[in-house]
Amino acid sequence: MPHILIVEDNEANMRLARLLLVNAGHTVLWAADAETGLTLAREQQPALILMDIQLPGMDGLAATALLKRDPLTAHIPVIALTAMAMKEDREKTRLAGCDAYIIKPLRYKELYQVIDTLLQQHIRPLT
Amino acid sequence: MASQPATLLIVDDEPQVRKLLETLLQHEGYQTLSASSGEEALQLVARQPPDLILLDIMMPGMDGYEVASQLKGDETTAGIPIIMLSALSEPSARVSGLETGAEEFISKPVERVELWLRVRNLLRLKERGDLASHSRELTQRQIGMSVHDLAHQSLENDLRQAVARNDFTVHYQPKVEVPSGRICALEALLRWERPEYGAVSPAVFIPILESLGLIVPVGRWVIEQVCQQIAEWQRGAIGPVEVSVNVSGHQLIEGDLIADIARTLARTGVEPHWLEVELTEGSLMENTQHTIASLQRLHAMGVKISIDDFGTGYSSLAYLRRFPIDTLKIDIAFIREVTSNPQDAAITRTIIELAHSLSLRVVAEGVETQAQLAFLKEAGCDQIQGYLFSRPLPVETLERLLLERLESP
Repeated sequence: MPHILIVEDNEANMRLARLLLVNAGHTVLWAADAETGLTLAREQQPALILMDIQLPGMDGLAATALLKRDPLTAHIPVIALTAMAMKEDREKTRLAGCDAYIIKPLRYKELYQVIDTLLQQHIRPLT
Repeated sequence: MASQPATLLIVDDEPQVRKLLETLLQHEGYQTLSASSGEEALQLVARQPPDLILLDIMMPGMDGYEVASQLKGDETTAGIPIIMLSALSEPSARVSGLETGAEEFISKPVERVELWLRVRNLLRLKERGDLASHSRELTQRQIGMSVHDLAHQSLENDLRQAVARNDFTVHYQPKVEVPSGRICALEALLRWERPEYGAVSPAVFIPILESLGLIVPVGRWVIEQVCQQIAEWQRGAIGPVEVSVNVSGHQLIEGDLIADIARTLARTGVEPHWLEVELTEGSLMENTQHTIASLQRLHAMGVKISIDDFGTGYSSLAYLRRFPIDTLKIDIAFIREVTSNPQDAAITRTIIELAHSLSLRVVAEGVETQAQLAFLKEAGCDQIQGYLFSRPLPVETLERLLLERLESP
């Protein structure tokens, strides 16, 4: 199963997300801040990234924008985890290059569904 | 609610009704304005738009339907929620009221809790800007299904009567400890035999009791029944048994659940740890501060607290830590397909691990097959309940089962 990078500063949220992902058979990498997240994404090439938007220092939107500009990481789908439900906020995640967003606190089923959809879209046939 | 108390306009031609409504609403902390006719009401609204209008239908001169149509037809006043009041309880009055655009309908004599619930609900919806969709939905429902509405009205009446006569019974479903297979606790479930119809599902009648404001007295009755039952078992051969009781969020908000429980435990001489209250995840999310405070008081008394239907809502860890919880009950939806749907299996495993990491017990309900049991056993679930072991049983049948178990360990 592919591994998934969680960029999340809140330990409780991270533990829950990790538990859900590990039980679904994924391996999980964790970064508590955007900078570590960027490094892990480049070096470990995860299949997908769960990106908290509100991070200390560089926020998740800025980090996503950097990931999407970097040829090494641009192909990795990013799911924004956001506490904001407003339309403008959703628009911001889209502009930053996020492939999907999930509103926190997360719903278990929704997380699985969004991840499965994105992973299936991103499996490219071998040429 | 906003810091400024909401202003409610009462429109009724009868002075005693106006007085009664004023008193009830002021008691709940609302400001009130009054009008004795439709014409006066329209003038008042134009001068000082209220947050909500209680509107009598039958008035000399301009009646309630006309007032509602005018207000709902005017862009500047269309956003003010209207509750129609009528002595007529037939569905046709209700339908015409809702067709004018009114959001709610209450029949007279007005019951305090029902009034309060509807007012509070509408003010909340207005604050969130959900009013339009609420009334659209209501109108469609009421107009499209007036036969259904009639049936509903008669169901409501039967339920009111059942409450007045305490026409309910309590059944008990055993919970079984997974490793040992021993009966370790029971869940109390309310049953209602509707005259001439037979048993009605709690999924149908509980929400109606809630909307009628009757869940508080019925909930109190259940707690009394259960405590008396535990006390009786305690004195006899069966011995004390832990029983969980479903509690609606309404009981926490509207009634004094904590005092009711404390009084009943004291009177029946049941130790608090034999009683567990089960609340759904959804009801915890409402009115969180008050709910946490209430649950902390219950927990401090020694009563156990269980979260029912866990895993479908916003089941965050941070939020679990804020509540004094003893038990998580995995939502039945996940158990149903736990052996065939990998997502449901993963969620079930997650909930079990989550619970154990917080030192909570986990119960799986709706267990019907050996394969489900095998999965849950392997995943480390603590207790199960479901038809695989036993359906909810009337007291006499349950007692036979408990005694048999005692005799053949």
